[in-house]
Amino acid sequence: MERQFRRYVQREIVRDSPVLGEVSRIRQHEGTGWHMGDLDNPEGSGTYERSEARLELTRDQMKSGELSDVLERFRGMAKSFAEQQSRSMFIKVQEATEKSGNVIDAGASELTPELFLRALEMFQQEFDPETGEPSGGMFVVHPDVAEKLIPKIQEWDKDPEFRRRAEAIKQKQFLAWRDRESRRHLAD
Amino acid sequence: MIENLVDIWLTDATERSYEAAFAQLLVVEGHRVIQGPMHHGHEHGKDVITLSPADELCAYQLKGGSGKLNTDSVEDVQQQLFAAASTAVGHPRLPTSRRPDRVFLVTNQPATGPAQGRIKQLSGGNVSAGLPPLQLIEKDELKSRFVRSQDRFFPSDPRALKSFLNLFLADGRGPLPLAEFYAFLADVLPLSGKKPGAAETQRAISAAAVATAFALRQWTDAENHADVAIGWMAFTSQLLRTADRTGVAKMRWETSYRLALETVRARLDLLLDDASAQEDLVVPDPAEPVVYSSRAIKVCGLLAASLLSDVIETGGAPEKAAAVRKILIRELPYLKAVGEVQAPSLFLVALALARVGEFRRANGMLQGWVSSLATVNQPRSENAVADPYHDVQEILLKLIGPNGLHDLDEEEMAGRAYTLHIGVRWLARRLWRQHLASIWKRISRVELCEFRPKYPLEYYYYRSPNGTLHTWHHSQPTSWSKLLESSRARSTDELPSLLVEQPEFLPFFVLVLPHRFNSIVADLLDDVSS
Repeated sequence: MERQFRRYVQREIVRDSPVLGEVSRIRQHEGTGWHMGDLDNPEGSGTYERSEARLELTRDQMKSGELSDVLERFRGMAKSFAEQQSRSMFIKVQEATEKSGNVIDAGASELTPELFLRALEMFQQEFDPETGEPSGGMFVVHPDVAEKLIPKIQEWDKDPEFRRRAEAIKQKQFLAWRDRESRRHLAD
Repeated sequence: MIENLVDIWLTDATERSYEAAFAQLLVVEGHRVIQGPMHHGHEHGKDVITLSPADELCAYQLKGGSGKLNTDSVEDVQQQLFAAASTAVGHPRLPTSRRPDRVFLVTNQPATGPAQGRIKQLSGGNVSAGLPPLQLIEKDELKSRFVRSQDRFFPSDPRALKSFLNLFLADGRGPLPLAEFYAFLADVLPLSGKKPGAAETQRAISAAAVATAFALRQWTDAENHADVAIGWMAFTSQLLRTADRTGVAKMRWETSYRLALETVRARLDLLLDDASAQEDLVVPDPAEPVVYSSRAIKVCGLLAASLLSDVIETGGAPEKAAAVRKILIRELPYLKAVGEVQAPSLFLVALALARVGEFRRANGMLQGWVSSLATVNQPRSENAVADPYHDVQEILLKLIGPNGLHDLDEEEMAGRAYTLHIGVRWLARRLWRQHLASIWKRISRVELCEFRPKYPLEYYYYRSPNGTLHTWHHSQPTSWSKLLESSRARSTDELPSLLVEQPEFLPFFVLVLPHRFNSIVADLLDDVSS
């Protein structure tokens, strides 16, 4: 039963914060430390942060509660875990991007087509090797920002010059991807 | 209750059921075991040979069965008893070859009065002919000796007792539940807490060996040689852990170690005999098409380990090598892994094949493993195989069960692998550059994983509380010369000292702790086996 509830919480975490569902997960079966290598940071290591969430049931609730009440509480736990994990993830992303210099600071000003295209250009896009179409990747914005941003992008997309520049960036990313793929070999 | 348990254990036992426990009991009682249980033409009626605490050379002939020992049974073994009494024992531990001082007929059966009388007569005849006296150890005495020693080997803690009873009452036809078995071993060996002194450590090890023999009874009676061997391998790993942890002198643990190792080897020899006697490894059952390949990998891995262990220690025997070779080649087409937990078995088979001259097949296996794993564990693959922390049963249950209800459903296996880099290292050392180059694109996409325990001792742990999980990708492009250099680099500093000093145990170690098959352990195995 405990296992099923745990699975339920894990599913709800992803429902509450879909961006977490896009992140690859690994279960570490023993030990407390991690050590990673990647392109930008050859060495990154540390231990895991603890995250906690409470679930409370009164004795009366235990005696005469409904399953839906229990699930509601587990959803509360999932929401708490989702917040903690998302926050932790964004902090890590911010640290990594600041370290690599992959940052555009718009200050207090509104997002312009120019800034948007600059952000697009910094993005390492992957492509499907069969179709050549972009695959994976996402923009993560606050819902309030998304509410304003999406209509703006739709408006900008009507401008032929904006579309031409976006297409040029996509081409450039495709060539960069092809270059990366061509480096997947055993050299001398 | 303990007396009842011992009684149940001894009743209807075969010789093989209790021989390991009896040999270990002699160690508990202070004997120095010169030769453990043996079953071949050279034994001359002596299954076990010891030097008693009083320095008497003792030879034991073991018999097992149901019912009572009667005069007919005594007559059946009379020739062997005579051989035991009249032939000299030659062993490096004895200054000169000589006849035993005492000969014992040991049986789990109660003896009839006439049978006891016959033994006395035989003994009298021996003595008058200048041969050693003959004594009978039958069920009651055997039982009382085990019961007398029980405070040393029988778990007294309720949780430990429950763990022991679960094993004692299990179905021996199935696989040994390793997680539970390790928990049981942790209860009977001083693996944590205050370190005992040398003498206490020695007693604890011998006593734990007796407890192990008891716990494996169901598998022994079911003649499940594979899982009996696995049980003793697990015990031996924890014996070395105890010895490494306490730092006791080798003489304190070596006898129990050698007895356990010889029990493993004897069981695997029986497994080899069984496998050789059949045309395949089929156990008629509707589930067979699902489980056959896993059974084949398990059996071949065990036989390969047995061969390699012999080779590492003594150079090996040609007849055994030929028999193992035959089985490995016969089963090769069916060795299809379902999880990385089986990687050690496959690597052992590859090493064994190379050892018997089948280089093409050996290299084919390694190349096949690397190529297949790099393919199925690509990112977003729906067919990724599980990491080595999931045993075969768990994986097979997920394969045949409804989706979404299994623990494995909670984990993502795609995009990473724990044994891919090991295969790459082995192939690089063997200079298979072209093959690696042809699949490098796929290899480069898989995230490589390796767990390193923090302390050497934790290599023996079933689950280590400390340690670091390392994850990385090969750099792009990868330099062949750097890859070759790194694959040839060696360091055993991280490994427990006794594991390095007892290389003959290494092939067995990776089978009972498959998630410890990291690059350091694998490289050492490759070195000592080649």
